Amino acid sequence: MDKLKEYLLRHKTDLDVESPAGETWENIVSKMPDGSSRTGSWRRVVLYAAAACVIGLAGAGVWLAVGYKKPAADVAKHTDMAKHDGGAVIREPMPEKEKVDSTITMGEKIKPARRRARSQKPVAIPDEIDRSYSSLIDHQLRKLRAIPLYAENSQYFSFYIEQFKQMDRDERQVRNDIKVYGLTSELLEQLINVYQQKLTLLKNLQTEVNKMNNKVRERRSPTEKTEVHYLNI
Amino acid sequence: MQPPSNIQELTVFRAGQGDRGAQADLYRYYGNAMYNICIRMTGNATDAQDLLQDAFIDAFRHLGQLKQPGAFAGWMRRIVINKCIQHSKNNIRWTSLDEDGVAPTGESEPAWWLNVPFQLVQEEIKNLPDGCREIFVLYALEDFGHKDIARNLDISESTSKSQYQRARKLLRERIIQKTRLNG
Repeated sequence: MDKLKEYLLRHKTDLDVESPAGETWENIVSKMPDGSSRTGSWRRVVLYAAAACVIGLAGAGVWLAVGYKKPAADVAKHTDMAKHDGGAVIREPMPEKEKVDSTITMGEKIKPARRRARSQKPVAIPDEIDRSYSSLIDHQLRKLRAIPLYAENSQYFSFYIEQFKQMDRDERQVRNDIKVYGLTSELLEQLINVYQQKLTLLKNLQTEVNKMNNKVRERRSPTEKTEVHYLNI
Repeated sequence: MQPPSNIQELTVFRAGQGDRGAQADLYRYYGNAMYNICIRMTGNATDAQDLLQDAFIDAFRHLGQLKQPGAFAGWMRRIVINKCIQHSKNNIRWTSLDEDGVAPTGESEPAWWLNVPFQLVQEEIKNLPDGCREIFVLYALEDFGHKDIARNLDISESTSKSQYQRARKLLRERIIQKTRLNG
C-alpha cells in the first residue's frame, strides 16, 4: 500500500482538528420536522391499533362465549363449583338471570349460521354421524334415568334438565334449518356442537348424581329407609 | 431496528424514534468527525457546514432504515461521503492529467510526512485544488480504490490516479515549503 496513505489512515482521527460552527445544530433542528409530533403520531397509531385489537378480540370473545360456549361453560362452571365445595351438593336453585341468558344465547347462536347457510352449497347428509350421536345420547339418557336418586328428587337437578331441554330446542331448530336450507357444512357443525353439548351435560349430570348418591350412602345407617327417585329427563 | 444493547445504541434507537435529545447527542458524538470529512472534501467551511447539515437531516429522517443501531457511525460516514461526492460531481469539471506527465511516486520516496504537524497536513489538504483534493481525500483518507473513485465521480480510473499523484506532489511541495519557512 501507498506509505502516505497507510500513515494517514493510521492517524486519521488526529487530522480531525476542526469543529463545525455553533449554529450548525440549530440549523439542523430548524430544518427537521418536529420530533415530538412524529413520536406523538406514531404513538397515536399504535394506540389506535391496540384499541382496535382489543375491541376485535373482545367482540370475538363475546361471540364465542355467548354464541357457542355458554351452555357448556355454565355446566362446567356448576360442575366446578360442586367440585370445589368438596363434593357438597349445591342446593340453591339456578338464578333466573342465568336461565334467561342461556335461553337467549341458544337462540342467538342459530341466527348467523342460518344467514350464512343461504350462501353455502348443501352437502350430503351424514346419517352415520346422526345415528352415532343420537344413539350415544339415548344410551346416556337411559343410563341416567335408571340411576336411583337417594337424597333428592329429579327437581334438584332442574338446572341440568332445563339446559338439556334448551339443547333439544336448539337441535330442533338446526334440523328445521337443514330442511329449509339443506345440510350445509355450517349447519352440520352446529348440529354436531349441540350433540357434543348434550353429551357433556349428561356426563356432568351423571357425575353429580353419583357424587350425591355416594355421600348419602356414606352417611346413612344400614337400617335407615331411603326414598328413591329417578331423573325425569 | 434491532433492540439496543448499550447506551450508544439506545441513543441511536431513540433518535430514530424522533427523540430530539438523542439526535443532539448523536450530533455531539459524530458531528466533528463528519465535519472534518466535509471540510477536507470541499476545502471551505461554508460548503462543509451545508453538507454536514444536509447529511444529519437525511440521517435522522431515514434512521428507521438502519437495522443495527451499532452500525450508525459507518452508516453516517457513508451518508456524509455520498453528500460530498455529489457536491463534487455538481461543482467540478474533471480533466485527466495523463498528458501532463505526473509521474507516479515510487516506493523509494522518503517519508517526508513524518513529524509534520497534523494541523498543517489538514490545512494543506484543504488548500489543494478542486478535483485533486477530493480524489486525494477519498483515496488516502477514506480508503477508496481508484476504481471506486472513478465509478462514484463518473471519471476514468486513470484520471483518478493522475489527480491523486498531482495532489500528493502538491501536498509535499507545499508542506516542505511551509516547514522550511517556519524553521
